[in-house]
Amino acid sequence: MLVNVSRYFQIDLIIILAMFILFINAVQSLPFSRSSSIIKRQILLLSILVVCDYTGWVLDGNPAGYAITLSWTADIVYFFLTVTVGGMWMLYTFNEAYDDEVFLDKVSKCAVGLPVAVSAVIDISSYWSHLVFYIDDQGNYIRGELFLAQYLISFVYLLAASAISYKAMKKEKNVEKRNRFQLLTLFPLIPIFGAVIQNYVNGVLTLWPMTAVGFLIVYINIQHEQISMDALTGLNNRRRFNQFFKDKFTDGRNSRNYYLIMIDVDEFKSINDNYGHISGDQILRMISSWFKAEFGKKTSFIARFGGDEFAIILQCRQDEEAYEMLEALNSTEGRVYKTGEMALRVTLSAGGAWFDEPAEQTPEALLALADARMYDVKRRHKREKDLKLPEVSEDAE
Amino acid sequence: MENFTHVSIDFFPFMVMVVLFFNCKKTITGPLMKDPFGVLAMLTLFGLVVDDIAWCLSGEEGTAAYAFGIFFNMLYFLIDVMLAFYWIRYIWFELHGTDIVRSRKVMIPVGCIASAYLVVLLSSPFTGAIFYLDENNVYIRGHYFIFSFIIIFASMIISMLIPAVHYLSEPSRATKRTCIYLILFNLPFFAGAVVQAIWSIWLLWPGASMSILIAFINIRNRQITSDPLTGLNNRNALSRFLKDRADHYDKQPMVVIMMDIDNFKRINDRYGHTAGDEALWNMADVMRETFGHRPVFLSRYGGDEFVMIKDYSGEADAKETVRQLRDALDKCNKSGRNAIQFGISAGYGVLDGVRNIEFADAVRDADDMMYDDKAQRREEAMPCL
Repeated sequence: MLVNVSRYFQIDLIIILAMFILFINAVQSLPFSRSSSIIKRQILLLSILVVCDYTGWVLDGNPAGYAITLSWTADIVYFFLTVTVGGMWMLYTFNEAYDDEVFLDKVSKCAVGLPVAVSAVIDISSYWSHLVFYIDDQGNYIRGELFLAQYLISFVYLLAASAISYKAMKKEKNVEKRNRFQLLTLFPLIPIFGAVIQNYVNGVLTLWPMTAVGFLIVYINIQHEQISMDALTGLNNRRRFNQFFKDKFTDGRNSRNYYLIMIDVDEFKSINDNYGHISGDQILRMISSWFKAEFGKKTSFIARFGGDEFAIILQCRQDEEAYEMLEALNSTEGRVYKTGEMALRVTLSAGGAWFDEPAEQTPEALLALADARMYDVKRRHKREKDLKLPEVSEDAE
Repeated sequence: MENFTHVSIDFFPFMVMVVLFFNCKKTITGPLMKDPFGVLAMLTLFGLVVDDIAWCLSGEEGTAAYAFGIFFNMLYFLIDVMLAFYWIRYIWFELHGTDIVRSRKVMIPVGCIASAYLVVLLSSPFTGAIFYLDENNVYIRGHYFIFSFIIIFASMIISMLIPAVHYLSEPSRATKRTCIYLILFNLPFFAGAVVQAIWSIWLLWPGASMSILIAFINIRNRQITSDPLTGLNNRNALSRFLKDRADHYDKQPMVVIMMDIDNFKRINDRYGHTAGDEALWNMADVMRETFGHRPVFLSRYGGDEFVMIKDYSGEADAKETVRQLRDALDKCNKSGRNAIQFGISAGYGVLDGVRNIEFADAVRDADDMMYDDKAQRREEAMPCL
């Protein structure tokens, strides 16, 4: 008996510690949003659940009056949370898939609130009905008829969450987001796997440890998205670009499938200088959303390279596709962006290079080639502009 | 049953380590074994596995079980002492950015202790010094078990003392925060080892894995708030800094200094992006060298713009700060460290309040002043052209 108690202590303590670490970090560093607040709550609920689980195990078979009262309380909370954690997980997935507050509100009331409330009533009424479990006079915990039902409700939620994210994955065009939904689709396998092992292998506790591991994976993934995103534009940042570019470089050298495009906003400096940083930032954001709309559909990786520079890695089979895109980017007509009351015509310069260019052996050299071609275009744009407007300001350099 | 219990306890820490291990590839650039954190994560994962294998073999009959038992127990004693040493190395690396494995002064005594320990450990199957297996192949601690014990606890105490001493002697807020983080990082491992030594509750490896989790999360956090190119704070960190001020309702006025590299666009256009990146690095280094040890917030604001925030104590002080920075940059230009020499334009605005709008005002003031400065510098430079 004592061996068991200390074993549960060792297992549960570490889970609680891990959840505590995640929770503290989530409070300090996750951006303020609905999905982060759901995640924070989930982590907290799981910790409470593990504490209740542990309390139940420790007091099992203890006939003292206080022990029996405490067992009842801990076990009721435990079963209640088992259902709640599942329901909350579905809400989380739902929120990721459809960012719609009104809809979410309805779902959380009908599909989660109601069943959770019903199961809470059943849990509490177990005290008289012994439906889910009961504690006998000797303090022994005994399973009731509906014992399994609580777990099953939770699993149904997990499977529903899986279905929701699968549907979202099928619809999603953005590669990064698709990966996230793929993870969310597979997530329920982790706790279910844990439950199956715990059920069939005697004396092994895996259900809650596996659930905690699942949360850890999801949490790390959220952090990873934060690390690889550019805060201003929502595109991939330079860090992610370097990684992606290096990963694909070796693949790409063997096939003419990847095309790197470097893009620079013409005379961005003068926009910043003349209209201020706020307008400059706004224009960068608008250009980014144009990129997302225009090139997001194709298999492409779009990143903000630096201040006013962008990089796109395009995966395409035909050369024409790439050249058409380059043409569209380099159009001397440019596009008109409205910021405040002003409308500005902004042109871009873009230069591209195939991954299998024979002379460029390293990623750096390939980047420099695309860069050099981009500057050729930029000079051409400048000459054309100078012909039209001889009095161009010298800030434009 | 006892052996099985052990596996059951290590299951969760093991899964956590596996998850972290697979994510390390995305986090650490370069080979895992060369990264001070990567080595720790690897050793902890191995330690957990070897520990469990050794436990499962304990008490099994037969010569094969004996041979494997000896092998895995030796491996275990090797890994845990290595872990203790690499632990110190990681802490030192976090605080000073230098690798103690490269320092002779450290490696000679460590090498001596390690070889002595290795001799004792390798002789254990014959002498039973550190451990031995009895006639039932059950693991039993040897008479000199204390040797490995002392090494581990001595390393742990050193690991605790380094950040603690550093904390007391270091004025910069950023370094103080690193020290606190390192102490927290030590705690689970330390506590696990103490509990295991005193009450024989097996928490050493689970504790170590929780320390690794803390370190991993911290590395990720730093990546979120730092600019990958220069290592300064990024925009995320800036908004976090402002939010922190607002949360504490910290009304102490601060000065926001904006700096911008002159003709950065021209450097990029003429010499390529690598040259531009190098200029940004050098600028960041100059900022760090001049102000890194003071309670100052340094960040890269955008392309070639940098923002520095510090407590405000009058116009004169703000001007003096800008002058110090210029001097340091001049020195750096003259030393020939910058392949391409560059100047900066700077301006400042006073942040008096905690709301975002007040920050925007301060930035606008700084921006305006910076552009005046730039125009003036251009006029001054004109006659030379």
